[in-house]
Amino acid sequence: MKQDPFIPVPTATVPRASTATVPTTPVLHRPGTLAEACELLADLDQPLVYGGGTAIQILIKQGALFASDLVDIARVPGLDQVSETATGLRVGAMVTLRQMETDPLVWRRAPLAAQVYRKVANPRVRNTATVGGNLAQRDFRLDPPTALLALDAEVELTASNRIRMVPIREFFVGFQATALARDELVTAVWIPTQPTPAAAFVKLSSLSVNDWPCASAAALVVPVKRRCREIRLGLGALAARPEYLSLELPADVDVNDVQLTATRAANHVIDPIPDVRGGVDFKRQLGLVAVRDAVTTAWEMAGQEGTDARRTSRRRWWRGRRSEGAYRPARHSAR
Amino acid sequence: MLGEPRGADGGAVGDPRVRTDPHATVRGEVDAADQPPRPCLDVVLHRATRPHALINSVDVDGARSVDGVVAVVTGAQLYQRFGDALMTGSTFGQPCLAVDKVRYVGEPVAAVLARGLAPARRAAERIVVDYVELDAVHDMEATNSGEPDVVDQPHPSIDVGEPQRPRNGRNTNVNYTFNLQRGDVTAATKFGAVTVREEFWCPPTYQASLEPPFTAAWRDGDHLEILSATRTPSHLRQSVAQLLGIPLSAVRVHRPPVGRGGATMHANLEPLAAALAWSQQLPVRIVASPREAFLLTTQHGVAVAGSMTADRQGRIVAATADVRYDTGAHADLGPRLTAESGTTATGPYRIENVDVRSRCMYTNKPSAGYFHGFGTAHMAWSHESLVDELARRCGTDLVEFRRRNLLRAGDASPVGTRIDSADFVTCLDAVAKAVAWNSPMERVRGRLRRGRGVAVGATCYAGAAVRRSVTLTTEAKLTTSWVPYDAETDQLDRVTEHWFAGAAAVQLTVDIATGRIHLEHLAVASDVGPAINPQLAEQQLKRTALMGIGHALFDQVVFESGHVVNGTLLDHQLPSVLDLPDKITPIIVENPRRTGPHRATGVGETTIIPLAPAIANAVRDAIDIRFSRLPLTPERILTALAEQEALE
Repeated sequence: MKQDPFIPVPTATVPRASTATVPTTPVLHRPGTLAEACELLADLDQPLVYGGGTAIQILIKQGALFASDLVDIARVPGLDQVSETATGLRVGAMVTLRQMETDPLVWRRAPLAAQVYRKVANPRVRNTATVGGNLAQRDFRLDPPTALLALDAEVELTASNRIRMVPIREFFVGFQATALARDELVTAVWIPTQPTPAAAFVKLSSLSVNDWPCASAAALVVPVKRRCREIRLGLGALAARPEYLSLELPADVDVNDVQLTATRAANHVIDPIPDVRGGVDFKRQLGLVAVRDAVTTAWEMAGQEGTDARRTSRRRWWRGRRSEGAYRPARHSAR
Repeated sequence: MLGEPRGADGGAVGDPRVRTDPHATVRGEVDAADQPPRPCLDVVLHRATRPHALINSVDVDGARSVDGVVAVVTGAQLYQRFGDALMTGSTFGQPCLAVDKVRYVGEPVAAVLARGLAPARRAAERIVVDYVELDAVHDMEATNSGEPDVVDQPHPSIDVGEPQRPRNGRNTNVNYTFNLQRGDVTAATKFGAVTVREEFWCPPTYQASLEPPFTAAWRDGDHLEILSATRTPSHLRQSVAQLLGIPLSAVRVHRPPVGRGGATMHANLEPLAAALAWSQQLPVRIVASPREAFLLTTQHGVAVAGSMTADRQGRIVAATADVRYDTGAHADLGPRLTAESGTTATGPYRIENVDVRSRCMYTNKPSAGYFHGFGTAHMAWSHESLVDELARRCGTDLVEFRRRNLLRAGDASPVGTRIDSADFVTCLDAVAKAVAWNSPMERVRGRLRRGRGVAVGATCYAGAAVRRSVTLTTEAKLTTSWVPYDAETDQLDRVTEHWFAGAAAVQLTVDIATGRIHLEHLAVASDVGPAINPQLAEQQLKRTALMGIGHALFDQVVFESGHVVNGTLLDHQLPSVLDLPDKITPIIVENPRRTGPHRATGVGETTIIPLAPAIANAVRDAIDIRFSRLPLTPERILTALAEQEALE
């Protein structure tokens, strides 16, 4: 074969082992204490906190996310606990979504949250993804924020020199943006005890059934004063960030009027982002269906617990949950 | 339908057997394709960012200076080395690196060879290309009126011969046309009782192979060895021998057990790896990232303007199809798809008067490849929607209407070939029976609307015949006395003996508030000849049907000004277990062929072909709306429902 004049023939035809000489993948840190983790975040160039890694892995591979360093907080003790507090639950940042779905404590104190965490992605993701990482992912389509907004949860943010609590309703500040400062990490989510069982979650997708939602709504109906109820609505995928709205209605309003009022109110908040999953009009329409369905179910559940019948209905609700097998995964709840 | 007793001779044919390899495959115990037997340099490609542009210059100095980089190679260098042979990788010539012009966003312009993926990637990013932008052809609508040429100098190919070129003093982006004429369509349509017409569209989709496209090549003296998960190793061997100008015996293709099967015949990675390994005398490997895989090939986007006419007795007397295949910037398998699917464009029906024009067109997009059915699924989307509508207009039962008109053994198909034994009628009857076609059903429940639909699918392999006939049209490059197609009508009495018959029936609900379709029961049938392994045959029928569900309901590659918008598996969705029908019934129809091993024929593809029209026909049944564009997304359904409401 004739030699090519333009290509120098190398002396060694078999190169050295094909390992990268210069790393472009982020450096992995595995701190053993929270203080160490905070220090790393404060000192490193462009660090990212590594929780379950289900989103980070994909986004980094796709080039959608860049990090010089990954700070894996799996070894930090105490972050994977769900504990009961005087007012509700404290959920550590490294608690998996699967734990939220299966822990009886969560079903007892905040059944709406358990119900919503159960709907995230698929079991493989839920087994690995974490409560803190999920919020820090800050995607406008996330499911859990819808429940946390309705439940009025608070996010515990920790830096090397401070700890602060941010209401979830102030945590998402815009498209892909949160209140999380550069040197902070999510260490816990505080969820107040769900005041009533009257709640529902509806999630609608437009491509495959298990795709990211095109519209999601979590509704919680709470008695506020005599003969009056508050509807608290958390919306997902319907605007640049998870949205919250609340409205008060007399308890004896017909459910059709409730639907009308709720969808009208939601319509002002809904401001969809058009993409391959659908245009603005379509997503708005789906959003209104999700709101209507969630509100209807929650309102009707609340309707069953009139002033007198409240206790009976509560008991009935508990029995219902049991017979439906809501406690099926109890054996997983060793912690 | 499992027929005569078998295995009397002690053989295994006909015994249901479990596959032996899946456990090892899912556990990762099978040798993966990306394990070449020797250390290789990693190759990363710098890809075009413009859909259509002249390459002014390629600055590779920045890339060469990256530590770990061994060589940087441009298309111009390879052209200098291999000349026009560089263009033989694909039908009508696709260079493995763009030489003087880029024709789609993502076309490889330069290759970096480095020790390790990381330096190769960094170096590829440092390559700077100076472009002179040209007007681009983004879709087939633009290929009719004075648009720029996507390919100005197509090269003849070993497969199909010469492309079609300047006609009537004007250039054209049509690279191949198949015409099929039989009888007198104009007269038959005029005297027919009912005619239906519609324009159909199937978008391009991604084939989504099991692993990312991968290839490795190394030189061993005067031999070249290639490791590739190709499904056409012989063809690859031919292409590479021709490219390098070495004897066929000097090329050896290794194929790992797990592959990327149904993607494309000429994915340009293999010729590139061969050219690099040969010219640089270095072992190389190319692994396409998941994102890059979307730029290698898609399934064709296909438009069909079709019509069908029936007489008063409910017989189909005439059918037309004007088919356009969007083949992208390089005609890879497009011309062959265009011809082969052209033969089935009016469906497996006895029709005396047929007019088919099937064209393959260039646009500034990645070169389109093939998928299950070899283009016939696109044809079924048209003819099975048309025949459904025609039957409704005639007021005849949809199954009975088809049965009356289907080709039977001994009948001549529109292309002139007599059907040997593909049993369309039995397939149709079997799926109709499985979904209890004539039984009453609850049509409305709350916001759900229920409906049933049915469709048949046909495919045939005309490979060799078409290739030769097309070559003959080009100044007799091949000397033979056998002229397969009639020059005027493209008729042929023996296109193929291999017809495949399949059918699908579905019962579904449409949620009129959300537009979501839910499949309650899907029945698929295929005439496989005797089933060699009935268990695998059934699995094959099911699995192909599941792919078809994706195509029918949500799969599509979306382009915007030549850029792929949803080129990740996050945004280009595939069906998951949650998209499965509540019930799937696979039905094996066993009708022995005249020829073939154990008188069997192919299995699998036939159930994807009728799937989308069966679903659309059921949607038509449920909500009284005919859809002509795939996929049937909730958004499309809701928009159509709103339009329907506005009309009422």
